[in-house]
Amino acid sequence: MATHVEKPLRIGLLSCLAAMAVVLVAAACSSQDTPRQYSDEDLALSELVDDQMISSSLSFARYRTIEEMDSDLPDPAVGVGHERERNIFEVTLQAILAVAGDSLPPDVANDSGVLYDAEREALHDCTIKAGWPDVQLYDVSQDMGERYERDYGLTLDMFLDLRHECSKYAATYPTLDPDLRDELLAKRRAHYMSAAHEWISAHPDLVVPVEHHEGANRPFEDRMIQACLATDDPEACAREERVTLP
Amino acid sequence: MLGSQILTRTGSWSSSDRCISSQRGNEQTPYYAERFTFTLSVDAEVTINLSSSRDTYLYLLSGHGTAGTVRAQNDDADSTTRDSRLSLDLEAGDYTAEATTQEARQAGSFTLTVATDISEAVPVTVRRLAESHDATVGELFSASFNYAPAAAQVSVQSVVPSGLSLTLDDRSGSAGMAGTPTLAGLYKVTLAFAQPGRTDTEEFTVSASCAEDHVQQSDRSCKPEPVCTIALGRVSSGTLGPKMGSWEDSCTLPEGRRGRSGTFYAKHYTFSLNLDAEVTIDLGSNDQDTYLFLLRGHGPDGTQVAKDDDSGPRFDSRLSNLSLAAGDYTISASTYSRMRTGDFKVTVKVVAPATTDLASSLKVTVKERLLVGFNVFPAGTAVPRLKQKKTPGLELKVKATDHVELDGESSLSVLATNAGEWTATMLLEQPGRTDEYEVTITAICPAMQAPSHTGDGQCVPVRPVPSGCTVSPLGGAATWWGSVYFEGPYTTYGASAAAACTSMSESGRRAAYWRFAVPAHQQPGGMPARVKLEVAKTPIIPVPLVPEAEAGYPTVTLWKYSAAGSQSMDRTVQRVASATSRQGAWHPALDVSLMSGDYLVEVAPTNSRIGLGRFGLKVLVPAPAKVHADVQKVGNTGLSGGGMSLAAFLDARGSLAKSASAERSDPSDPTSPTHPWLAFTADWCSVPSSWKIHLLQTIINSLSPVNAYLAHYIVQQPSFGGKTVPFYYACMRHDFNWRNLHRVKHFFGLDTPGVWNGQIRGEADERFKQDLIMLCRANQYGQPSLPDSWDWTLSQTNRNTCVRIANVFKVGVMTVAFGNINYSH
Repeated sequence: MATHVEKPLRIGLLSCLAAMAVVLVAAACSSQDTPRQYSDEDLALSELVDDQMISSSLSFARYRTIEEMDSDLPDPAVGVGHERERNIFEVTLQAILAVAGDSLPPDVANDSGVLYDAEREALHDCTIKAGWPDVQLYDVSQDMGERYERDYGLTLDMFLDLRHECSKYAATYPTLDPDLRDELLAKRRAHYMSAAHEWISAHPDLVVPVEHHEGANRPFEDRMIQACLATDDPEACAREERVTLP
Repeated sequence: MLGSQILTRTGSWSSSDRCISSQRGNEQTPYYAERFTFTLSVDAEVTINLSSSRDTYLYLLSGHGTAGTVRAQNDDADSTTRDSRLSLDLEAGDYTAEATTQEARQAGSFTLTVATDISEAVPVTVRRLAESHDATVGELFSASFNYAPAAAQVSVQSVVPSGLSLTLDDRSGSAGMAGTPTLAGLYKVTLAFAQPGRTDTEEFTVSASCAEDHVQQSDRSCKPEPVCTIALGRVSSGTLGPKMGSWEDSCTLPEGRRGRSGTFYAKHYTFSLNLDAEVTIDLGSNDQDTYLFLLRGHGPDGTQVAKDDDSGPRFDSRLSNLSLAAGDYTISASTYSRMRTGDFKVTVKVVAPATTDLASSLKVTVKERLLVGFNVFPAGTAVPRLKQKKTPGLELKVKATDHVELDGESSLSVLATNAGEWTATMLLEQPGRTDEYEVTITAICPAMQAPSHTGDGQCVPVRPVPSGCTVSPLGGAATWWGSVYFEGPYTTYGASAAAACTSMSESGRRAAYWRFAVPAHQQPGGMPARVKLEVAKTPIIPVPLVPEAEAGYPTVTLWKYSAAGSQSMDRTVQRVASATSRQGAWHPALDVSLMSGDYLVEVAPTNSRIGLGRFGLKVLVPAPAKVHADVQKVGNTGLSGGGMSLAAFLDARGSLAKSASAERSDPSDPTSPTHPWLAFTADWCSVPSSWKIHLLQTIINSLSPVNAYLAHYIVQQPSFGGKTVPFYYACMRHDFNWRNLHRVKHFFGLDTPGVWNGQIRGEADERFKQDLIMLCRANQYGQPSLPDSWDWTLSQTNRNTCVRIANVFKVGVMTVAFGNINYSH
């Protein structure tokens, strides 16, 4: 089963933020007009939103390299049956949340606003303290990196370490008042939860809970069974697609 | 034969009759004699007197004739007479009395008397009469025996009980008796043998039984056995019956057949099927509620095949459309209730599969009509009709025929417009059944024509390869694959070719020929092999000695042999393509896709006044293993990521051109500069354009200004933070992998495990995702260097979004069922 419940444990601060966001999410849930089949807990929405909460310029608080980050994505092809269905659901919801990041409220947006400014300020503070005041840690292109190495002697490994450590530092938003920080993070979280709820409500047939139960949606398998039955050799197709024909 | 009696015989001795004594004298001193034989049936006291005027002499010998031993002899009965006498007790048997004389050569007459004295009759003995005999009521019984003494009078004293009357034929010492029993039973027969003063009896038994098809009744009479099993006959197709019958107490179902206790009257009907057939059995009765069984084999005890109670009208029984194998069967027609009598009717309808004597394969010549007569069986089968309404390239008609010259009641007319092979299906219809019969029709081209090399079946003219030419195998091997540069064996081409080997393409010129084969593709109508031919001037060629304006130029012509197989020169060829070098350019080249078969390459000059030169033939034909290795390398599958990067793939593809319409029918297929034998067609990730991938659509809609399909979205290129990312690059490689891995297996015949299956397809899908991610990461610090044209760099936020979209797009390609991946181009 591909779930992400262990991720908040990696960064203590985010884990605290996630716990706080649950309260806000519960309030959001209670305002919905139509009851959903599954609770947020059933769907582990909180954990999925956790991933998105740090997917901005602080992504490297959790991961040292891009490769580490990308390898942590759920693979939609892994597993069979409910495990694969859940993976595809998580892949889908991650994309939905990523797209929803473009419409965050201005003060909590990924590319501007109070949180954004606080992240950048913290990162800059960090690089100054580390002795690399002219090094920018976010959105670094190949050209910029080579220039850092050429001009400052900052090798790629050194850069990766610096970015990782400074991102961890910045993820605590040290320059923000804690109450304001929590309020803003909760706002960002509420936005993502709202996006998730909206999509879930619009596509109840695509929603797959963490735990399997009789009658749980299996949209991918249903699709593949239908496709295999249309082939010349449904049995062979089903074997290759790892689905069970009715 | 003697008993108590006296026999008297007279005789004479004479020199003329040559009868002489066997006991005395000889030929020189003969004693004339006569001999008399007699038989005693019982022991008796016998007195033999021989009297004559001569002095007599009497012998008694045992047995008949002179070979026996002398039992007694006498000269004179007493001193008062010269007559002879013997008086003695003899046991029953044969004897001979010889009457002769005391002196030799005595002629005269004599009298011989034999007197027996049996004082008391002896018990009769009976021989060769068995104590018990078998007989059949209504059939003649007979037996014979011997008895002694023969004088006894034999008669049938009694036969108990009644029912057998015996007549006796007494033949004195033997007797025969005969009679026909009228009733069954064990008869005790007593024979009586009467002699004077004595009667003996002899007993024996006769056991009389009813005949095999009869049954003994309580009064010992025999009646014919009731007919419970009736043969309906043997049938291939048609109706047996209706057969009328009646239920009676003499015929029943075997115990347990109904699964209920009690007796159920039944009649059993046997029949045999010559062929597998569909059988319907009806059992109807106006008297009773019927019950029907079908059994395997002949007889009421066979294993049950089927049963029915009320499937027919009213309470009648019916077994409908049973598919039965050829063989023997029995119908047990019975009643629902116990011990019910009445009349019934049984009908069996048999419908056998129809067939025909039409050959299952026919060979025709293109554009020459073939008319063939045939029959259909069994009788009652309609004139067949064709299952297919139209068959492209083939005109077929079936109808009833009255053509006397055709052997059959139906006719098939075949006219092929193209060469090829078809399977026509005829429907053979009978009431209640339709069978199919397939006929394979092979159409061949007329003489000096052959099917076009394009595979469209059209017949095109062919010509023989000129005699006097030597056709060399390319690469020196019979079956040759790969890339080779072959340097022609001639200089001043034309002049160096065999003088007798004329060109087929350039009139009056000489030519050189090579041959090669394109193996048959695994899949009919499969992927053609891509072949490049180039006449290349070798680096050591001197400048032509004649001015270019006057010089001829090399041409290369590709021919296809009419039939695969033998490489003999007498086979005909058809032209496929040719190329002539332009003035000043010495490299005529052909780039063609070829179906399987044998090919002939001709190189000839346009002008015999060509200068000195040496030219090579460059041929490029991919080998399956090489294609697979190349596909893995270019597509980066199966190599643990060790294949080409996406950028290197695009270089190998040689073009970033794409179809703007994203329509699958408009794929771009550039010729790769490095791998021309691979297909670089792109159809935008093979995602079904007609199907909105549900889970993707909301994402795409939020990214795209229009409600686009995934394929459109990919072609239109998504934008992240204003930076356009060419996702279609990844699609190009994804399409390349699916198409070429599929080709390797299905068209190049490399059907080994791991070439193309669900797992490999999964690798290709993952490569697609990794390529998309590579595009998302373009120009990020720490990533591989990219071509200058890859000039976009996404922010970290947009990169993350891009990667997540890439992950979803992998789901998109996963939704195409593996069984639906089937490329024809």
